[in-house]
Amino acid sequence: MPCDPIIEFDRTLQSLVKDMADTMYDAPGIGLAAIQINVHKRVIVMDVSGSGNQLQVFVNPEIIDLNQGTREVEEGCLSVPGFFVPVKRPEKVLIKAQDIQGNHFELEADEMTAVCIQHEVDHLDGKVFVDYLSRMKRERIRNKLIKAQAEPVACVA
Amino acid sequence: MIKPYKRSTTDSDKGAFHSMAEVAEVVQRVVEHGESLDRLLVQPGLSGQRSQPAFRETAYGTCRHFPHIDWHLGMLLGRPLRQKDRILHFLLAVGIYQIEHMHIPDYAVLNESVEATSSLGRNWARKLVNGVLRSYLRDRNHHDLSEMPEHQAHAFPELLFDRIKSDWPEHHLEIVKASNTRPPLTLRVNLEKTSRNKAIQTLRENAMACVATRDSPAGLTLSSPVPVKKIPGFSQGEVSVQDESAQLASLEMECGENLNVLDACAAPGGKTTHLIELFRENCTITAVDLDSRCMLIDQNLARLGLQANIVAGDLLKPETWWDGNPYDRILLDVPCSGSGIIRRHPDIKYRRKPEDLDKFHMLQTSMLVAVWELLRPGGFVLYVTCSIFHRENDDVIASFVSRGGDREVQSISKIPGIATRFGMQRLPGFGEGDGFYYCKIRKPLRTAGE
Repeated sequence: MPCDPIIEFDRTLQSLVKDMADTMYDAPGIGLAAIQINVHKRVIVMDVSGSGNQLQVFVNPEIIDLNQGTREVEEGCLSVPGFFVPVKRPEKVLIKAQDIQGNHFELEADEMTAVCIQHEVDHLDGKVFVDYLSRMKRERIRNKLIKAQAEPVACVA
Repeated sequence: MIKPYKRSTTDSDKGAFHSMAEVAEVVQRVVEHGESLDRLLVQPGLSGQRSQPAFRETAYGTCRHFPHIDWHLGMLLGRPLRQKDRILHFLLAVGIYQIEHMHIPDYAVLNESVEATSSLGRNWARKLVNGVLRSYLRDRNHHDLSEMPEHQAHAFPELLFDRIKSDWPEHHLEIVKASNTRPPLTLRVNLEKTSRNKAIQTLRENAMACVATRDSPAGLTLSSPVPVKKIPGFSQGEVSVQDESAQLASLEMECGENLNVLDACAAPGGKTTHLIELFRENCTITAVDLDSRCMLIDQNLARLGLQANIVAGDLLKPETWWDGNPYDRILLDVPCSGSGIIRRHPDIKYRRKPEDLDKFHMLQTSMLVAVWELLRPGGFVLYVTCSIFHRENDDVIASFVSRGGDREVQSISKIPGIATRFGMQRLPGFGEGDGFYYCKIRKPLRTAGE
C-alpha cells in the first residue's frame, strides 16, 4: 500500500516525527519510515551518525540518481530482524524533500546517508530490501522468520 | 534501517557464508606480504563480512595452519599455479581449512569454493578448484606424512621453526604446538571491587563456564570465547581482558609505601590499570607511551573509572616529557617480535624476518638504557617481553649489564616459569598464559665508581 504525501505541517506531524525518532533510537536503528510504525505517510527520520544527536527529517522525499556508479552494502532492517543482505544501489543521490515546517530543501547524499535514504524511501513505496533478493533467498528468509516466531512488523507487503 | 556491519550474533547461519574469495585475499596478503591480520579485519570502510565471527575464524585459522595445508596443496597440484593466479592457491587453502577444522559440511565447502572463483574473476578455474578439493577429500589419508618437512608438519615457516628449535632445543615442540592452538579468553578480576570467586559465580549464573587461572590470583579463563561487552561486569570495570602471563608482571612490582612508579610503553594500558588496582593507595603511577597510543590508555582507564598521569612522550627522549622526579619502580614492557603470542596473532609467523630480531634487540637495549637514567638508586626496572627468543630477552640483559657496574640482576620471586640466565621465561601455554619473559634489574643504593 503506497503512502500519502504530507499536506498539513501541523502538530500531528510534529508528534509523528517525535514518535518515529523515539522508535528508531530505541531499536536502535539509523533510519525509520512512518509506515514502519503503521502510519501511511511519506515521512522519514534518520540518524546515521551513531551518536544519537544528528536527527534528520525528510518529509515527502524524492530521490534522483546522480549516476555516479553503484555500490553494494550489507543492509539490515528493523522490519526483517536478524538478516543482513548485500543490496546494490546508486552510490550518490540527490534528495529533494521538505523539513518539518514544510520548507523545501535539497541534499546531495553519499555514503551511509545515501544508502539509508534509499532504503527508507523504498519502504514508502511498499518495498523492503529483501525484495532485491531472488525469490528463493527471500522465501528462505521468510521461513526463518516464521520459524523464529519473529513475524515482520507492519511494513511487509 | 539498521546500522550495517553489526550482524546479530544469534544469526550464525553457516550456510550464508559467502565470503571465501574475500578470506582468500586476506590470507594471501598475510602470508605473502606479511600484512597484519588485525588491520586487515578491522579497517574501517571494509565490507561487513570481515567482522563476522565465521570470517574471523576462517581467516585466523587458515593463517594458523597454512604451512601444513600448503604441503598438501603441493602434493595435489602437481605443478604450482602461475603467480598471477596465486589467489586460487589461497582459496584452496581456505577450503581445506574449513574441511578440516570447521563444522561445515564438505559439500558446502566445495560448492562455496567453486562459486568463489567467479567473484575472483576466474571462472575458468571452477573445474580446477572442484577437482583439487575432491582429490583432497579422497586422498588426504593416503598422503605419506613422513615425507613432510618438520616445520610444515607443525605449520611453521622454516626459518622461524629453526630459530625456535635452536633457542629451545628441549621445548620447541611444546612451543609450536601451543602456538597453534586457539588462545583462551582470560580475564583479570579487579580485586578492589569484587573477589575472584564472586566473579566466577556471576559468570556461571550467566551460563559462561570459567575456571580460575593457576598462577595469577586474579585470573580466570572462559571456556568459550564471548564478545567482551557481554561479559557481566566488564563495562563496570569489575573485570578486564588480560592474559595470565601479562597479569603476573604487575604482581612482581612489589610497590610498597609512597613509591613513584612508571609504566613505560604503557598502551593499551592493561598493566597500567592493574598497577592502579594493586597499588594506587600508596603510590603515584605514571604511564607513558607515544602520543598516538595514549588514547588507548585513556579508553581503558575511563571504562574502569580510574585515573593516572598519562604522559605522551618518546621513551628514548626523556628530556621531552620527564618531570625530573626519579622513579622507584619502572615496568618496561618493550616492543618485541611477539613470538610468545603467535597463538593470538598467527600472522606473526609471516610478518617477522630474521633481521627483525636484531632491530628489536637494539631498540630494547636502548629503551633499557634510557629508563635506567630515570631510576632512583634502590629502585628496580622490571623488563618484560612477550617473546621467547633469547636475542630479545637474556641477550638484551647481558649487553645492558655489561655496560656498567651498577646493574644488579635480581631473581624473579612471584612468577613461576623456566629460570634463564638472568630472568624468568614463561612459554606459551604455560598455565593459561602467553609466552612472556621477565627480568628484574636493581640500581644499588650506592653506585659503584662514583
